[in-house]
Formats: sequence, C-alpha cells, structure tokens
Amino acid sequence: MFKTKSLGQSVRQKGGAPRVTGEAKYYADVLLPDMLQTRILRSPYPAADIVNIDTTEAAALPGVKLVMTYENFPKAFRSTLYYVGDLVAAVIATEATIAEEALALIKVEYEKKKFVLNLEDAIEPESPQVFDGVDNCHDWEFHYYMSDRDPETRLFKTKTQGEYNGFGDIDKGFAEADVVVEQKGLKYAYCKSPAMEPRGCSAHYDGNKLNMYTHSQGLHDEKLCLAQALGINASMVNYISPYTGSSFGGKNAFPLDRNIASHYLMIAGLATLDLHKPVHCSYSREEEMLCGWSRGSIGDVKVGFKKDGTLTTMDFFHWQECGAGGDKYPPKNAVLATGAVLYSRNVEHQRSRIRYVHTNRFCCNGWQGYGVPEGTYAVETTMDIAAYQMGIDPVEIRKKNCMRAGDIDSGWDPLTYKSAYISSSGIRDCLDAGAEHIDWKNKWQHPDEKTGRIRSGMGVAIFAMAAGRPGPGNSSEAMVKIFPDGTAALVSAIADIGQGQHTVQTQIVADVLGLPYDKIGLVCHDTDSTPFATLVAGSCGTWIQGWATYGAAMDAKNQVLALAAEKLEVPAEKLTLDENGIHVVGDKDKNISFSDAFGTRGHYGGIHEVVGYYVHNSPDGTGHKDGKKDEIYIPKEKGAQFITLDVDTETGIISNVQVIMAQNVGKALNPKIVAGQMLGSRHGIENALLANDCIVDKRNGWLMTPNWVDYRHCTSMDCDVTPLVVEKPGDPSHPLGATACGEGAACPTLASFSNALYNAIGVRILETPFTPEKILTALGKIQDKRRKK
Amino acid sequence: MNDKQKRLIQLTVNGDVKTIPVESHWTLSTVLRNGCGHTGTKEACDEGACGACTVLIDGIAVPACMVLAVEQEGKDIETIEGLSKNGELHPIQEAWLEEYGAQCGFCSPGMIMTTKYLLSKNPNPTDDEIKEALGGNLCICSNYEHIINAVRSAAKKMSKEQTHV
Repeated sequence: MFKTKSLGQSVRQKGGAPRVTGEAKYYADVLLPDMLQTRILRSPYPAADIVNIDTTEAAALPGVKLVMTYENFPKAFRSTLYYVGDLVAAVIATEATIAEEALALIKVEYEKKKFVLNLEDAIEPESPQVFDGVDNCHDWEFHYYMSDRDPETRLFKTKTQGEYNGFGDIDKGFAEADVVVEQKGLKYAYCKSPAMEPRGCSAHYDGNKLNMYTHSQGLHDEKLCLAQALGINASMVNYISPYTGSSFGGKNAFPLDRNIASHYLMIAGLATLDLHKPVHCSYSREEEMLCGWSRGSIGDVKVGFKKDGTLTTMDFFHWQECGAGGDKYPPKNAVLATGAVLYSRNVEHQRSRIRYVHTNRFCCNGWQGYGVPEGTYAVETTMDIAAYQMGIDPVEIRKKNCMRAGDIDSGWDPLTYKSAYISSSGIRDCLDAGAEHIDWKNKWQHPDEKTGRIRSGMGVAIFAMAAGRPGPGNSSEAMVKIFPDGTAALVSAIADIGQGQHTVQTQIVADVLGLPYDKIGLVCHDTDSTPFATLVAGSCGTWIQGWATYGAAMDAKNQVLALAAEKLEVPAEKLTLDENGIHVVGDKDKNISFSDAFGTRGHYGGIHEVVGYYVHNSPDGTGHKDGKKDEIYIPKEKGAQFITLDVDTETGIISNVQVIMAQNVGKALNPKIVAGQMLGSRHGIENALLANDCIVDKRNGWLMTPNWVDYRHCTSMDCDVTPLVVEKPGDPSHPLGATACGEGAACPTLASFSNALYNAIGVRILETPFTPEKILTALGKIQDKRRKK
Repeated sequence: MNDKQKRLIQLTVNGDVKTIPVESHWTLSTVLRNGCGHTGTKEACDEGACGACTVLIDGIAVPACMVLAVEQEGKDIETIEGLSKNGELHPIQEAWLEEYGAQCGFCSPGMIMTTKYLLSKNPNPTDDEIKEALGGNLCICSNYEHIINAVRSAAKKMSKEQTHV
C-alpha cells in the first residue's frame, strides 16, 4: 500500500502552536468593529405562558438597537415556556451593560402552569404534561424485532417494527435458563454535558453574506440548517469555526429544533440580518449550565445464564429523561450494552424496551457516549451482580460472553441497517491487559474477606460504543491539493473539537503522498472553502472522514503520477512520490520534480495545483464482507475499564481513585491522541464521585448548581487515569485498520466505579452519584433522610 | 458610559506600558481581551473556578476574571501572548506541544501561566506538587496526565537552560 512514516507516530498537534501561544481565535476571540452585544431574558418558571409582554421602555433605552420577542421574531421565541431558563426575550445593544439594563425594563405577565421535575414522576400517567396534550413518556419510535436468522451467516434477514428491539423468545429464554439474575432501578442521575468554552457566536451580515463565527462539530450541516431556520439562501451563509473549545457532543447545534440549545445562532443571525451590524451572542457559565443535559436514566435488567455462566437471555427496560425536549435519540444507544451488540456472543433471546421521558428540566443534548454510559451502567452492574451470585470471576464472565470480531450487531441502529458483522472487538485482550496491570488475579478479594475502616475495592466493566455506521446518510468528503513546490494541503471541514482529527487526517495525507507531515497544510476553517464533512460525533471522525481523506489523497497522487508519467515516458504504475518529487520505483535517479511534472505555468495559466477529491459513502472499499452487498462490517469503539479505590467506612469518603482504561483501536494512528481520548474516563468519575446531579428546587424548578463551584468537574487531583492502548490489527472496515477512540472512555466508568465500590463495601448502591451520604446509609451508619413519596 | 466617565489606568502588559480607559466594574480579563486584544486570556466561568483566564500579576498567578482592572494600576501583567519571544516558543510551550498538553486548547493559556508561576517558585516540583499547583485549572478534555507530563518536561528544559547560562 504505502509506507507509514507519520501514522503511528505521535506527531505534534496540527494547530498546536496557536493553541499554546494564545493566537488561536475561538469564536469569542473574533472582535469585530462596532459589534453589538446580546443579553437574554430567561424564564423564571418551569412551565408558563406569556400572557403579555411590553418592551416599549426597554426599546427606548439609549444604546438599545433591538428587542426580540415571540411577537416580532417568532422563529426564535415562543410564548410558551417549558423550563427555567427558556427564552423570553433578547436585547441587542451597543454595550452588554445597556442590554442588561434593558432586560429589567421588559414587562412580562406570565400565567404559571403545573410542572414536573423528575423522571419517576414524569412517567406517571397523571403527571402534568410538559407539552400540552402529549404524554411525557414515549416509546422509542424505531423499535424493531429481528428475525429470519440465516443459520450460516447468523445475520437477521427480516426486521419488523414492534414494541421492542430484539430477537428470539424472551419467555422461552428465561424458562430454559439455569440461573436468572435481575436488578431493577439502576439510576444514572441527569448530568450536564461539559465543555470548557461556553456556547455562543458572533454573526455579521455585511449586506451580501452572513458570516457566522461559532464553535462547531459539523460545519456544513449546521450551516444548511441555520439558513433554513433563518429562511435565507444557503449560499448567503458562511459558517466559520477554526477552533472549538471542546464540545463532547453537547454543543452540537441544530437550529431547526427549538428544543436544542443552539438559540444563540438564531438570535444573533436574525438580529444581524435585521440590523446589518455584527452581533455577538455568547452564554455566561450560568446560562451554559441551563443547556445540554443528558444521562438521567432508570434501567431494569434481567439476565438468564446456563450453569457455566453462558449468557443466553437478556431483558432490558430503559427510561431516559430528555428534559423539556431536545435530542431524544441517545436512549436508543443504550441497547449497545445489551445482547444486541456487547453481549451478542452467546445470547439467543434479547428484548430491549426503550422509553424517553420529558420533564420541565433543561433540554437534553446527546454527549460523550450518547446513551451508552446509561445502558452500560445498568447492564454491567447487573453482570457484576450475576458474577458474584454465580461465584464466577467478574473478568471471566465477561470474557466468556462479550462480543468478538465477526459476531452480529443486531441493529442497534435499525434505521440504517438490519444486522451486520462487528468488524473487530479485542475486548478480551483489553480485559487481560487491564487485569494484568492491576494484578487482578492476586489482588482481587471478595468483599466478605475485607476488614478495617478503609476498604479497598476493584471493579471492572466493558463497553461497546458506536464508531460510525454504514448506510445512507453516512458520508464525508475531502479535497487534497498538491502544489508545485512539493507541499500539499488537506481541504476538509472535519471539526477538531480537541479530539485530534486535524492532526490525524493530515497524517493520512502525508503518508499517502509520501511527504513529511510538516509539509501538509490544512484548510478547514469555514464552509465557503471546504467540501462537506461528516459531523464529528459517535467517534466516527477517523472512520468516516478517514476514507474520504485517504481517497482524496490517492486521487491527487494518481493525478501527479499521471503528469510525471507523460514527462518521464514511464507508466504511472511504476512511479511513486516522495518529498523530492516523482521517481521510478527502485530507481531514484530516474525522477522529476513536482514543478517540472506540473509543466509551464504563469499568470495566465498552467497547473498551479493538482486537486484530488473523494466522496466516501459508507460502507466503502472493504466494508462489505467478501464484497457481498448485503453483508457489511460495522465498526465499534470498545474496551474494558478497571477502577480501584479506597472507601472510608466511617466518613463515606472515597479516595485514591485509579482508572485503568484499555481500548482496542485497531491501529493507533497517533498514540498520544488515542491515549488522550482515554483520559476522558474522568467524565464518568465526576458523574460517580463528585455529586454530579441536576438538583433543582422542587418548589420552582430553579437549578441549584448553575456554576462550576457547585457542579464540579474533575481537577488534576481527583483521580489518576492510566490509558492502555491495545492495537489488534485487521479491522477490515477502514483503509488503515483504525476504528475509533473518543467517546468510549466515559461509557463503562459508572459501572466499573459501582462495581469497585461494591467490591470494597459489599453493599450495592443503585443510584448515582455515589455520595458519602449514600455510602453511609448503605452501610447502615446513618438513616436515609430523603423524604419518602 | 462615555470615555469621560471611564478612568484611565496604566498597566504594563507583556513589557509594553499601556494607558487604558476602564469602567470601574470591568475585570482584568475583560480589559485584557477587549481593551488590549489579548484574547489568549480565555473566559470560561467568570468566577475563578476554572483558571482559564490565569495571568501573572507582578509574577503571581491570578485568575484575571476575579480582579478588577482599576485595582491593577501600575501593575506588571504577563499574559500568554508574552511568553514566546521573537517567534521562539517558551520552553513550557514547547513542552506542551511535545507532550500533547492541549486537546481543544481552551484551558492551555491558563494552564501554561500557572505552570510558569509554579516553576518560578519551585523549579523541580514533585508530581503531587504539580497536581496541587494545577488544582485550580480545569481541563474539561481531562487531559491531565499529558499536562502533568508537559510540566515535568518543561521543568527539565528550564533547568537545563539555567545550567547553560
């Protein structure tokens, strides 16, 4: 194929130097002349109608340029409010202080309505309805039953819409099982999607074009949706996002859905179209805390086993909170933890019932793991309970039953395919690597054997996360330009939100072209200069965009070889590239420079750049098994996580938390980036350890933790993470044998933490976060003071 | 508020003496970003909880969102933009690139300024001392192991520089 020189190396981050010198311009760093400032009036009630709104005084305040409400801007504002912090009005003024002053002059008459603030209450049929006339609890619309399994390939040939996802006969499965283990009420608290940079934008309509400076995970799709939502031509919008201060999915914008927290785009976009002046609309940390929550699930799991620990049957019931609307899709990903994917090895009967539930809390966005951490928490905790109950080593029960390469993914995403081959696994290798690292074999003890005030615990959990999927709607594009001076540029809108895509994609170009990494430039910052690139979510950047980048680089290379072939009078197949130009394979003396191969050029013409282009429609290339159209490979992000910790049984305080994260990434294209992604395990640690929960005042729906003092994220002092990068080559679904590494790190953390905690104290705590109070209550040292319903 | 109602303050920012009109409620981070164009000083929480806006005031690391600009009259301020000289990166910045200290990069300026302060006081810190020194700087990418490696590496580079002088 080609020699890998930079791939597999931890080359320096593309765009790294501007990040460490302060030169990198994130959206809020673009200071446009005479830019107007925005302040937003937000709902003080969790459910209300606006009966009357009077903006006369606010609009008359000197410096105020525009007051926006549902009356003059119905595309951005509504008269019905669904949560505390929902949009009431916005003021655009010459200065932020003037805008703030004007907010106080807006007179609003509200009619308060009944509201519901937690998942358990919202599920009840008599609960106040978040959206009038609609029950809060919804069945997942795309439940499909898989049947007609091919005995040879094990693929399902038929899918039928039904009341649950799954296959086989659940009742028969449990009737025939030797051991049945059941755990109900595994609750993952509603948690905030974290991001360093609060969301926002600066918009400038210059009479010709609307330039939108913002953060982004997928520039082109956000641009099209924005143009549609604003009601203007897509050709009028340039979406600009050279840097994004982290996102983890939570900041993904979708202005067509009013319940997704990308309102800044509509407010600034509509205001600048109206005023023809630059408008800045950024959220304070407190406003950011009202946006993009997720997790918030309750899971019931029942598993049937043979005597030897072989898992044959799984029943999974999952309710997930979606706040007052937003992204309702994460709950479907919870089934990745079930026999549909993670435990597909031996399971014969599977049922997954998925519900998403609205409350009058803050709208949800999918983020890191996108539903998988919730499902994994429920399933992997139950698997641990089963291991203890059957007297099987928790590592061994997983090794026996976890998915392996070639097992069948039975449609966690039945919208795009029925069932498919899991392209690679390596989970058993990850279990071995982690177990060896902490000397599990010798150090693991049953909780009954532990004594003393400080109890140490060891826990394990495995996971499978999406890593891109084959099928319609999954594509990406790239251009690669080669210049006569022997440099090249990748032209791609693939977003780098910290996960390293700019670096990795540039490495791919370097190695395909045989050029040094530092000779490859990058054009990535806006939609006007780039072709479409896929949304970076579901850890699919390397997988989906990787093919496109590879294809574009190959196209550019072949064009240059064809030019050289003409000049050298040697067939193109016998030529190759390196930094000195083009030469005959095996005869470096027979060569030509890039400049000479391109030929004469000047002001009026000639070849100034050779442009390669590729559209990757997934599945591509080797994505079909043996080239068969109806047999596809689907990649997964996957691995195993171990946690060790100490519990003080007198105070309930957990300390010395060590996380060992092992993932099989196929080929690590940049080992340091891969390791860096695994450090994201900490997001689960803060959900488990640092009391992360959506605590609202029951009387009025106000968020009690709207800042980073009360809602804590991990610092350098809360735990240590050891990444173990496992490389098992041979994944057929990617041209370079890579799969994915990104969101996965947070998927198993709650489960492995719960399992370590049980291993330390011998009591299972079913609800996160694992606070000292809950631990002491579980140990019987204090009374449960929470009010019973 | 017009310029007459603002107060003129004099700051030395990265060695340049600047006279800047400020309103009394403006924080130092606001003035550095909007008044001096030093947008490398990031604002993420506005309450001293994340350290993204850390700068050195008379050599001491301070979150710039927590101090008022009017109170900094005559002070010597160093921001991330002051670290590299004549196009050459500071050893801490070099270490950050080598060790992949930045993922999204939003916390990097603040982390690097905190590191500069740490190494000025303690040129050879232990791992626990590094963790404690960085304890006020959040990295939501959770890149702490790489960041700690970068601080270790920076300490080595700077002690070598010292030896050579």
